[in-house]
Amino acid sequence: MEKHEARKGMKRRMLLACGAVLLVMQPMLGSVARADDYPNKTMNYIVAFGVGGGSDIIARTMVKVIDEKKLIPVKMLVENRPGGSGAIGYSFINSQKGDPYYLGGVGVSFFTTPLLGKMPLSYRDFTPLAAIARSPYILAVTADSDIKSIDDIKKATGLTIGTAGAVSDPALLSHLLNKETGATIKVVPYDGEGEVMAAVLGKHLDLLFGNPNEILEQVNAGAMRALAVTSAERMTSLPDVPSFSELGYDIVHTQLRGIIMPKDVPAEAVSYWEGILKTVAESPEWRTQYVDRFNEIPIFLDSKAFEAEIAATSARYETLMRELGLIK
Amino acid sequence: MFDSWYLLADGLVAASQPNVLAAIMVGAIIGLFIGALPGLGPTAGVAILLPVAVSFDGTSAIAALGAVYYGAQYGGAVTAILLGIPGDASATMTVIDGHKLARNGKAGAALGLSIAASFIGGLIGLLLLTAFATTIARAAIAFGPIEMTALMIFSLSLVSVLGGKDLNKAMMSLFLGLFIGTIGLDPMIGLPRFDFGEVRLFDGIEFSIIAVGLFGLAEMYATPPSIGKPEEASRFRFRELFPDVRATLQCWRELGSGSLIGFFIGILPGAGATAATMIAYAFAKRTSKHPERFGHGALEGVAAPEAANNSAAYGNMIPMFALGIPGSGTTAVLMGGLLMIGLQPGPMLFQTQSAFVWTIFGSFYIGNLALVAITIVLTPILATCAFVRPSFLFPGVIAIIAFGIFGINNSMFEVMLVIGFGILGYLMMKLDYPPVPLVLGMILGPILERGIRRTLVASDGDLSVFFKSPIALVILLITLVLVVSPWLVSQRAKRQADVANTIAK
Amino acid sequence: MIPLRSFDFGLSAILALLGLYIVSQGISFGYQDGAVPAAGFFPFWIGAGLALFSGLNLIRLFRHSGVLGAVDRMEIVRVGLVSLALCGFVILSGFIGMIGASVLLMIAVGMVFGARDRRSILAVSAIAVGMAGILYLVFGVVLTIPLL
Repeated sequence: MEKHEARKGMKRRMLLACGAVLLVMQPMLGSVARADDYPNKTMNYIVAFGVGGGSDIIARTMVKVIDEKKLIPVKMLVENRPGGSGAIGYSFINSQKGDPYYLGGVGVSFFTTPLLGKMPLSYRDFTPLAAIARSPYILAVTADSDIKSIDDIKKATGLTIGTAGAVSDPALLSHLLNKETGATIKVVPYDGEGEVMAAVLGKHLDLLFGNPNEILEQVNAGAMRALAVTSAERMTSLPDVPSFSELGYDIVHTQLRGIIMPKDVPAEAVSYWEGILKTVAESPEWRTQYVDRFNEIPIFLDSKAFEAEIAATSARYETLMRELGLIK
Repeated sequence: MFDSWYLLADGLVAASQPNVLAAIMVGAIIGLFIGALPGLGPTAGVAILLPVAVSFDGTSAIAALGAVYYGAQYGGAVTAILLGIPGDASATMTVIDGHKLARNGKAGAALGLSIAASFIGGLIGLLLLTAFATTIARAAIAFGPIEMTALMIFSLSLVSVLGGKDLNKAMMSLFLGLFIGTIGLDPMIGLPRFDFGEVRLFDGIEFSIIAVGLFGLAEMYATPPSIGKPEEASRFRFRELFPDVRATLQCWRELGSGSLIGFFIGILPGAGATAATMIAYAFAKRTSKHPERFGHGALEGVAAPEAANNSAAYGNMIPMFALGIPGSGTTAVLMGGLLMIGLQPGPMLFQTQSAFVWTIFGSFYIGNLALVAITIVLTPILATCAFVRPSFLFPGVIAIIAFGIFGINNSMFEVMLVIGFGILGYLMMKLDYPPVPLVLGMILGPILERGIRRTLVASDGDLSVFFKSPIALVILLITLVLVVSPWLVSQRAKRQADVANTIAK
Repeated sequence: MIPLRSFDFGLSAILALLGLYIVSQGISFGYQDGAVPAAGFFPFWIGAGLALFSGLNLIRLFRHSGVLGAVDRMEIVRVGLVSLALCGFVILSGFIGMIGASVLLMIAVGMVFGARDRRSILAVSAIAVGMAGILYLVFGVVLTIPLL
């Protein structure tokens, strides 16, 4: 026990040392990149949703880690601009064209609201910086359900699946599940993850695609059983649960926790933030305060890789929304 | 079950530590004021305090956020009674009789009653929360889309009780409310409806905008200007600024029924405190010996909804603490707070974090006592508000409305909407359109639509599922009785009158 | 004095038309999808209900007259003036900020509600400035709402 603690302490010290080295290097990197030292005024992180939601928790935790590690020489504020299913917040970020002092996070409506044609913007109107975590979805049923595997789903009839929101990741996955397995599960949209969970636990629905965080809690309590995960590989926290791809279904879709900036920001700002976000993504603080706490997958994608995933996700949504008849 | 009370005793001791006490007081006072500000309700209050609170230690943070929530329920009634403006959505029903009382010079009695109702409702809600949290949570999820549909049909039928004398106008008001409820993204496929090309309407119209416009602004518009009539204030006696204990005790039945209705509606995920206040008010009116007094300053009309909305706050927390399911906007933000301090609300919380949960419950008891003390001291001061001349009072009130409504989404679009609803509310008031059915339709319509469509998507359009759920059947039967019985009673009265007439002949 | 009957005519007519508009929109959203109600199902019936009851009210208004009484012309003017003052506040906030605009709003509202002589206007102005300070502290500082 004691030994374990000591080793943990050493690990932390080493990581801290790494952090310190990076910290010393940062101003240098900045000055190389630009004559005037960027950043030299307060950074604003715009959350397009209300306080206390998923996007808000990521933003505040990330800013907290940046603060604790003193990664940037200026203050960073989190500002919520909710409304219009994210449209208000994203339009606001977009209106700060070329200003590298505004940041934002990527949520589902980052893709869907533009596709509805109601926002004269698309993902191309933003500069992707980096992604710092990945959240898979878990297909689950109640513990006493007859459904024990994907094969049972194929055999059963009249199944229902709940999704948080009409156009959302769970909805996308549910339609994919039907397409890939040939099942005819009825997709019933609800307003939030909590409502879906309540309906599944109350046996008004059979299945749901949930976040690792909420599903693990129910699995550990013995109330639910996980059937499969949507990440390419199994999750470390659920070693017995297969991924869809190893079962032979082409269902790989995860939610990326990524950061964007307005369009046309200087390339220096992008590489500066790539550096900062890489430090964040690899820091033990981020691991303990966010990734492990919410049972997500630690990753780091740079601007290029993140951009590619954004384009792929947007295409996936476009297909779904066409099938639902939302885009003509 | 007895374990609960031992655990609560420990919790009360833990919650009496100075740092937690301080957090409770800060939260309660902020909640009280945010609740009183028109436009901003408990959800906004918890959201505003959240970023600050998570820097406290975990227990203090959640104690403070919880205090904002129930503090706002106390505060909402203050503006509702004194100014006729619902301070938050769930105080809308309190306006109807509360403001009439204040205008009749009984501001103190009405405020005192609302405090007592808030406390009793809170206490009953808390006792039920303490005793049955985990058991009730299991029962609550038996309520699915089918049962919710039945409950909403029942609630909408209350228009027959709440609609006033002109049924046709009540129906117009109801359908207008139902229409407003459909504005925004369609809940089932995400199609924008009635957005008029405006993305800011995607999430629908915030209820407090309508409540403030329809009740608050409209009321002010209809108030005659005061050109030199200062003597009016002296008509009211000093004593009437203070709470009236006897009047409070007379309302014991409404306090009890309101608390129970509030608690049980509050538990259901997605139903909400505002729906609870409407049902509690309608129940009080329906069972009253003097239903004609409702709407003209009946004390019972304040007692029932105020007890209900406070009790609902605790009912609302049950699914969150026991199952990890937020049943309302406020509990969703509160749950965000739990996540941020590193706790996972859900079935394991009571086992793994037992001391934390009971300390929080303990803090709720202490917070409620503190709020009673604070509000009783403030009552006479606040009540004098009712005697300030409109030319001095209204400028400030309208400015507060403008700022409060702006604060909902930090935008002026909502302020423009409130101006429009103010004019609509004024017209409705002058033309005898009851505003309550509009509120009823707007709050309940979306829940009804979701319930029906979710049910039918799952059953593939098979309507018979509604009659296979025992809970739904019972609710639908009660609805039938509620709608048909007044008609039967009037028929019988007519027949008796006929008999009496023939005998007289 | 303006008779209220004409207002009721106007409102009922507008609501009846709104009802018909809702019905037409409802149809364009799609009434049914297979056996399941679609996005336009509820709007269709809500619009129909609104049009029906508004129509009934119109018919009733044609048949009976004088049930509603009248309203003082000054009261209507007051509603208009306060609404205009609020609109002015919205527009001015973009130029001089919400705090400045709120002072003007409050003075205007005070005048509408009876502060006409010099002493009352001075008193209202003093209240307005004090209130603006409180608003700034409460909303801008304590609640940290980004005021314009």
